[in-house]
Amino acid sequence: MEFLLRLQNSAFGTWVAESQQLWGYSGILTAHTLGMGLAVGTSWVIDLRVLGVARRVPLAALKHVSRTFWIGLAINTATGVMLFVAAAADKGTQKIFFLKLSLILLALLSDMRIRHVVFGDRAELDAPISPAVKLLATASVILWAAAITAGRLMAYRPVVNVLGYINW
Amino acid sequence: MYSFARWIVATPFMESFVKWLTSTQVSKLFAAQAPWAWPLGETLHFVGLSILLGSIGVFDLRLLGLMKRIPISAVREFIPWAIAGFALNLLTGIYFFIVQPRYYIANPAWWPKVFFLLVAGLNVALFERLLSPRIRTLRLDEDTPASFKVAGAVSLISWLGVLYFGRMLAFVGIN
Repeated sequence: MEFLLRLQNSAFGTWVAESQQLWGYSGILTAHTLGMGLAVGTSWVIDLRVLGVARRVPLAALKHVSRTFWIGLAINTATGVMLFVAAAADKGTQKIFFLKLSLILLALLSDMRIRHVVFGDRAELDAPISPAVKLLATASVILWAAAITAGRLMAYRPVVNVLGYINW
Repeated sequence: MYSFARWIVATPFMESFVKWLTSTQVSKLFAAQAPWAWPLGETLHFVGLSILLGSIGVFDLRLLGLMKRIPISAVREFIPWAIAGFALNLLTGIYFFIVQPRYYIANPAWWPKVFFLLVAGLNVALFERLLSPRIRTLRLDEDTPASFKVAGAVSLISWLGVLYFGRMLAFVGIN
């Protein structure tokens, strides 16, 4: 806790939390939303293709699309660390924050597995997609949606607690 | 934009519009449910944003000339998902607006957001009417014509503009 407070009160943490410039807190949060759209949106496009949408799109060609996923993930790792530092004592003690991180980790694991199977060197490009991979794609869709929900609930935690739905 | 928003919300038309809308039964009902419906609506708005950006983004990149190995008509099969994401965000957006119309009308970020929404919509209409017949004449691995590139770029820029000003609503609004 002392470490979290020191982090939050560091010059950088204070700047993120209090800066009024466009590239300050509001800009960082906006970039976090953009990164979310890129990463989750791209992940869902690949999931949809695996689940049978737009079958005429060759999976191998879709491999290049995952670049926008990595761009989004990089933006959100950087902005996520900044937003955490700015409110370390609060976020570092929220269960829902760790739930969000766990959901992201699980979503990433399923995405990596899917891409290993469908984009990997030994992937057979015309082979039908196995039910196991389709299950992973379904899990990926749900896990990312759950991560977004957890992220939104972090902003509404007081409301949610008052309502007594979740005691985080 | 600040002075524009301050001016327009104070016009007699907008004042009576806000007064009328917030006095309707539906607005009162929506506001009463806001403690749970607002966070749910925002969550769905973020989910819809991701579906829309992902599916329209891959199509726009193809229009810009990337991933030439994918037929445009095939990438187009993601468009119904973009429409679904947009519909989700339109519905949740209408909910937010009905609960507190004055907040949005007086918000200097809301007008640029609406502007970019109109640009994006106009771009789709023009593409469908004027350019989409040319999709069939394009061969695989052929570079997309300049008009396709313009349509793709306008689409990407306007959706990112919608996202940017949408997120900024929370920081420039006066409650």
